[in-house]
Amino acid sequence: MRQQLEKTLSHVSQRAVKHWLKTRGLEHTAANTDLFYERLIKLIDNRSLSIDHLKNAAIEIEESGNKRIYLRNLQGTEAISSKSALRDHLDSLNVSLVEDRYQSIHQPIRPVLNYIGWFEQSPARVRMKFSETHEELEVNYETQTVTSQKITKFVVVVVDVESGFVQVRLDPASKVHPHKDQDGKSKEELYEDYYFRKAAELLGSEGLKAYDLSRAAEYLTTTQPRIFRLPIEKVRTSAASFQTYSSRRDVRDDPARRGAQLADGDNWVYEDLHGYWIQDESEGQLSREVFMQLKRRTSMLRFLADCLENEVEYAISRIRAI
Amino acid sequence: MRFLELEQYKVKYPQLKHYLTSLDEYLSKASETGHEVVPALLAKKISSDEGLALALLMLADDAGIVRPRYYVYCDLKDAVISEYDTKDQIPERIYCPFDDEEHSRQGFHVELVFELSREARGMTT
Repeated sequence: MRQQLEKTLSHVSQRAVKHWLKTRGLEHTAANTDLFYERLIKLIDNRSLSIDHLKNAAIEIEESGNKRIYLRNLQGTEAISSKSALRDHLDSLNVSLVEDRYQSIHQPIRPVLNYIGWFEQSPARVRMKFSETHEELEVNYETQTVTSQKITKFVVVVVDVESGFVQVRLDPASKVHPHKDQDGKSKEELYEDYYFRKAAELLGSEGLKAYDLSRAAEYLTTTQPRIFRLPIEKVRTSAASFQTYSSRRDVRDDPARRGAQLADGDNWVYEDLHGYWIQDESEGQLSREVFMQLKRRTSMLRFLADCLENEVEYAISRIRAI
Repeated sequence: MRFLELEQYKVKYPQLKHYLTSLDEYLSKASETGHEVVPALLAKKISSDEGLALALLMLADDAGIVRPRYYVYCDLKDAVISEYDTKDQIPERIYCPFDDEEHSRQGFHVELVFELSREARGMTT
């Protein structure tokens, strides 16, 4: 059974699986890999857990953990005005709309669409998932050899049908991947652009427009009571220079930063925040502090590898409500 | 201190009159400090989004008050390492004096800012 479990969970972090177990009220502690699998086998033996549960957990983690999430608005939403309109549009592209989102294609030869579906949640959503294969290279200087490891990268696009709000969730690119420039070099921006274009094409849209995070960034740093703990903050001052503050707990408690804010804070643009959504201010929606980085300029949010779907959704829904 | 050249746009685009007045004040201040104008900072000052701030700055460019410049920032140091008049002029690799190495596109980012034109420094009344 261990082999089967290892295969199921090979591409997701153990930390994420432990957290997933915890959120379901299951025993989750394990000091090392052997104990981790022993724990899982025990849970399966006493019927608290099944392999199917773990397969679904792995898919949830691969669709929400370790993602750079670019927030966008669709330009032109006619093709997603109804499920049948989307089906007609996809028919013209020879793509089928599916009912089940739980598909995951590993190590494809080229970038591939895993699924696109219309899901009648509240609000209704279109969700699509792609995967592609990247390579991590490791150089052994002693033996002067290079070893390469293939890694599946997942990209998930989530669209609120009514508003046209889009999340493009990308795994970070590895050094070598299929998106090359004219000199044959892998370029991260080409990887990202590929999926912005792909999403627009499948959604029948003219393109994706960046969602402005300026107000959200300011709100997260200034609202009281605090909803976001802020150990690292980069601001743009009125003189157009950058100022970065970092602190063990929260930069807003630093007297030097307070003084600077008094002098110029009204003019600051909050460019880059690293922090944690505070559990006590989540009205029971979070079971722990959740890390998030917000980059205003690129309208991007970054989450850690152990982040689950409900935590990503919590953060984004709070941002959109601002 | 006012940029009279902006008056024509207040007549042409009356719906922007309020924003153009704010822009005028902002540019007057910028001319005193000598700082470049960053669309995001202007947006914050006039309580608008960056798109409108950019549109206003393009009117100011049209009036000869500012000129667009592309600043290249080192991602590690957040410092300007190079400046260009147009986007096309930006090379694939740029030497960073702060890190003493060349950065590729993955090591720098480009920002559009507006500098007060030489003519504009003698334009205010």
